Amino acid sequence: MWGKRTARTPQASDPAAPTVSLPLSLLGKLDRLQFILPRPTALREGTVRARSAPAAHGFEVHGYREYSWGEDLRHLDWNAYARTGELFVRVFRAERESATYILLDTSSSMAAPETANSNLGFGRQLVAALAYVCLRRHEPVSVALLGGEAARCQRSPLWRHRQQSLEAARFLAVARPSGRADVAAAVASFLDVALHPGIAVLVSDFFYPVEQAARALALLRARGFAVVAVHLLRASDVDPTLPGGVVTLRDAETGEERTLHWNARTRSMYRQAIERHAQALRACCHDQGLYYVRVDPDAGLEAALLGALPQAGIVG
Amino acid sequence: MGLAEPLALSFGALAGILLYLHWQARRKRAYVVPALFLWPSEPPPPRRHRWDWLLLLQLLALAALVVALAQPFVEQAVPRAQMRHVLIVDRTASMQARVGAGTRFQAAVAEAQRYLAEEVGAGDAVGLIALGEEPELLVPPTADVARVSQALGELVPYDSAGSLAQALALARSLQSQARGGFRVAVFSDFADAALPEAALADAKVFPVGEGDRNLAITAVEVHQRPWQPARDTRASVRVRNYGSEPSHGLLLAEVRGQVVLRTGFTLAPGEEQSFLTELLPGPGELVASLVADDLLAVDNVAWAWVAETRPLRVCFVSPQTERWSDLETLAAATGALRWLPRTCARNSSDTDVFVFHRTPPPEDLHAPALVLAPPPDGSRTRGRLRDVALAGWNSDHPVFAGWSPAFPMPFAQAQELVLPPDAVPLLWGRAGERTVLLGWATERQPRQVWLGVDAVSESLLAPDAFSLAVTLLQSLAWLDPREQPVRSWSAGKPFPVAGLGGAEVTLPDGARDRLPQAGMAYVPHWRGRYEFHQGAGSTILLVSAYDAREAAIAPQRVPASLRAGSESDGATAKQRVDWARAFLLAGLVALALEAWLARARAQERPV
Repeated sequence: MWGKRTARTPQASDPAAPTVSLPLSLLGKLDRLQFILPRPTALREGTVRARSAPAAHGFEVHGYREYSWGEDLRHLDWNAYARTGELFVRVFRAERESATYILLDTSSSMAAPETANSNLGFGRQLVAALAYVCLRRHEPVSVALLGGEAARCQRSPLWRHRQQSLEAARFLAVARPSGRADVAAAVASFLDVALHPGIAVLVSDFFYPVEQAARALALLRARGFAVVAVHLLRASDVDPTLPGGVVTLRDAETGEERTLHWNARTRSMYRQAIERHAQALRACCHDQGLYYVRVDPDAGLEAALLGALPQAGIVG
Repeated sequence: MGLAEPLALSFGALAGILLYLHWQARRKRAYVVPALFLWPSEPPPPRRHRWDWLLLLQLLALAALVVALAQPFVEQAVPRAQMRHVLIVDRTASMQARVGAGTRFQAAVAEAQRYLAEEVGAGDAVGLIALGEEPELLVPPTADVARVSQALGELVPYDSAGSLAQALALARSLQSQARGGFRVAVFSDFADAALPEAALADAKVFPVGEGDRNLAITAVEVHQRPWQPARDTRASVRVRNYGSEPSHGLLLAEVRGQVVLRTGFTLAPGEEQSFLTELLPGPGELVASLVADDLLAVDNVAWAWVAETRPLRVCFVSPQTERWSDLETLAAATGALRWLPRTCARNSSDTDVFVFHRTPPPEDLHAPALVLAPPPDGSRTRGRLRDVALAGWNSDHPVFAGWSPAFPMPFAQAQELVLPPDAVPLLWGRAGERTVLLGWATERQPRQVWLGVDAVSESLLAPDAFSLAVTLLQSLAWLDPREQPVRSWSAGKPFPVAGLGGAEVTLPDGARDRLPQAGMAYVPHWRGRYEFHQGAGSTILLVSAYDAREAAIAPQRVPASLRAGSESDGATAKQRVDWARAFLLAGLVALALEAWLARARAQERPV
């Protein structure tokens, strides 16, 4: 088992621990989903039907080839030799383990503005659903919470069994918004330990400079992960409703305040800025060969799991 | 402009709460956003301070409501309609207390004159009431201010007490006839212990005088029993300190110019002391005087009368003489009775009083008579009774004044009497279930006392017959035709003058007056010697100022709200215009405007 189990990780046996709940109607639909994007595989054998190089041993026969001198005689197909008089050896394709790592940004901006369904709340549900998709098929999955001042990255164990879905949900339930978003540093902290290659899904509002996001995504890509950037962006974040006139804005993470005159002009300036930011993020991902998905939490969890993610070729 | 309830302004502190809430609301207008780097960094253009109209309206509404609670008013000088003024000038004894170089009374009159000159406008009617023992309407309301002024100038203070409440009631009775405004102005030292504040509520008061330093002679008493010689008489003088500080004084008493008492004293506040003298040289006026540095001199002199006496000559007429020895013993005990020989009935010139026992008095009797157990005749008596219990006596009659009889009960025998029309009952008895008359007296000259009790048959010298013996002696004293021509009296106390109709009165200052023919009482207003002359006889009244209400000269605290202002003049009147409603309306309008503006802002479409 890799990773370090922290004291805050809830135990599955604790029935009173808080948990992230998913609608039952959605669970039935999630049963039919799986990650479909190409993923790198590990050397370790596993249950993931990931393509690997043909090998001399395995469970699935890939084909035959002529025997070369010096090969292990145990791999000879004696039945073929009896039928044809030629020496052939069987070639197998092994099933290799490929883990899925889901990283959730828990910086303070994820909880701003303070509404019933914040980005963080939606993100917790989305991550729990993706973890369920993996565990439903016994694919190893791990969740990491990025953010906070004390621990920049809080990793979960690598879960492999369907029964561990509840444990994943409880792990996510303790995620609290805290600290400033330094996602590159948090990702670097996440990568401090040896990880199996696989899929890395970064769920964040990306309310930080694109350069910082690009640096974090590049770190993941450099470790051989198939990287998916899930950008949580609400319509209300794109077009906020503020009373006209002089308003004071306070940064959720830094507490910095800025006073501006909110009118049609400044509103247009803000909309253009946030659209440019989203476009830049998308372009950054495409340039690096990463997956980028823009999800509107206001549209709901089902729309994201059954709409945006399948359309981007992430799950299907 | 003034405020009727200035304490209500303390509600203005609520403005602090408003400002705090406003400050809190402004603080909460910072909107939390996920990140600031995407927002325009263009600061708002500098502009001058923007008024928060909501706050201004709230403060305005609060200020208006608070001021409305304080009941603001404005006194405007407005031309007024004809007004009726009633001036009440205190002329009681305490007004003679010194204040400055004059007296309180002089100050009050001067203040009233000033009022006439400055407060009374053209066409106004003015009345003048003098506050004495009875309020006196000296000048009915009239437009002739000069007449009122003249009456004020002629007004002199009394040495007696008075009732401000009665004077105010008299003044109010003049209000109903007033067509325009009405005002009562009171010029007094307000030394009455019970100040009628309710009655003074609408009056303008002009208090005068200050200080409470006063020593007063509260009584001069001559302890002289009937027919007791003057040389054996004692006299006492009581002096009281009405001030709030200890006072020293010298007390002098003289009889016929001879000093009988001279003593110095020191009295604590509220202390009263009696000084006794037994050195009276003989009959005559006893004059007690105080030498003290106090403010009121009226009560520093008092008079009393030491009567001249000689034995009373009594003629006893009775068919029975078995109790004669008791009567002689009684006369010897008094030392002032002389029983005449039995033949006195035939020569009445030497007799002062007759005593008829079981004998009817003659119809043409010209001397006072005491009739004991008259024989039944059907017209004056109703019959003989046995075992009659005493039921009551007339304590208001001089025979029973100052003492309470304790008769033997029941009387062995008595005669039920019929009350004549001009007589007053003296004694009542109870025979069985019936109340019977046992005695009466008549003032009709010559005086007579009838007692149905057979006093002579009773044992007068027995210990339990003391009351009966005293009744006989008291009756004889009352019947004494040699009534003393000099009486001691108190100023302001009505003196009965039933028999002095038309008499000429010489007042202490030498002025002369004449009693009305049908007058029942005469009220001496000043201290001193009054002489009533009627025909050849004369009655002298020695009047002293003994009223404790006037001796206590400390002015009462008059509420400031009752004190008169001096800002008005005669041609205009101060009319109080109430602005509370206007401020209340302004506050409500401001509140409504604020509510409308707040609603409009709430509905303002955000950008």
